[in-house]
Amino acid sequence: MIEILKVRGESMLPFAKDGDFVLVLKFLKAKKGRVVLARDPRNKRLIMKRVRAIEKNKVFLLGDNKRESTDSRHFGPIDKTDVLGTVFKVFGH
Amino acid sequence: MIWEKIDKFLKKVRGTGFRTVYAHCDVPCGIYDPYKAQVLAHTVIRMMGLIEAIPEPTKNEHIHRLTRYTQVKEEHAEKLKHEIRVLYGDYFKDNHFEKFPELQGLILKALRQASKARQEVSTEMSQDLLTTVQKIAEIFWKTKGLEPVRISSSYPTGGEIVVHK
Repeated sequence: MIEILKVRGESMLPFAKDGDFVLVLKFLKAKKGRVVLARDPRNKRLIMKRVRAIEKNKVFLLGDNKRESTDSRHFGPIDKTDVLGTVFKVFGH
Repeated sequence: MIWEKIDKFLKKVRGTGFRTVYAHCDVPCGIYDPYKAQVLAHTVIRMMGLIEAIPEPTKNEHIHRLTRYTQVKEEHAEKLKHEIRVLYGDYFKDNHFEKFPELQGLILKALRQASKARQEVSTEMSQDLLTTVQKIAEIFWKTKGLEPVRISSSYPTGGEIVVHK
């Protein structure tokens, strides 16, 4: 229900930077404005993005650092079932 | 940092650390700009000036300021190197190097000057670094078919910034 993960990449700057660790609560569901742990619909890799909108069973994800982010603008909204939890805390390095 | 230590420990005892979550960008965005490198060069010049202006770094207050300025100089010179490497590796292509044969040398020069700026205290040296970065910026804009122009930086360091018309 709780997991610590290491961040790779800079698409969530300034919220989290490359090398930070995040505490993810898997029982906290996606809500607009929350940063979530999700599966990339293309390769099922774990990604971290902010929820921009939720409609029915689809979630639109955006990186905070839009210039350096691959998100729903590229791969479209993802299934709600591919959202695995919410980032509750960031531990900077 | 504690989580890094735990991560290393886990790797040691079970072979894998914490799982990785990607906050990434896998699409070449095509957005490059030599502006940032120039701002960083100006910062290095400013820090050199401030360091040189400290009278006698013996008082605690002076030591504190000297430490802060040196740290900023270090960080910004390294960030500058990163910016130049990004332009070198991601933006400039073979045809750019063919058209501007001096480009390769300028990039190497900027990287070495930035390293030197970390090692030493010399406003003159950091001015040379800015000059090299400006030359790279001029070539950058020319590769885009734009005419480079120099405008006043309006920073305490004076000098100019290369932009395009």
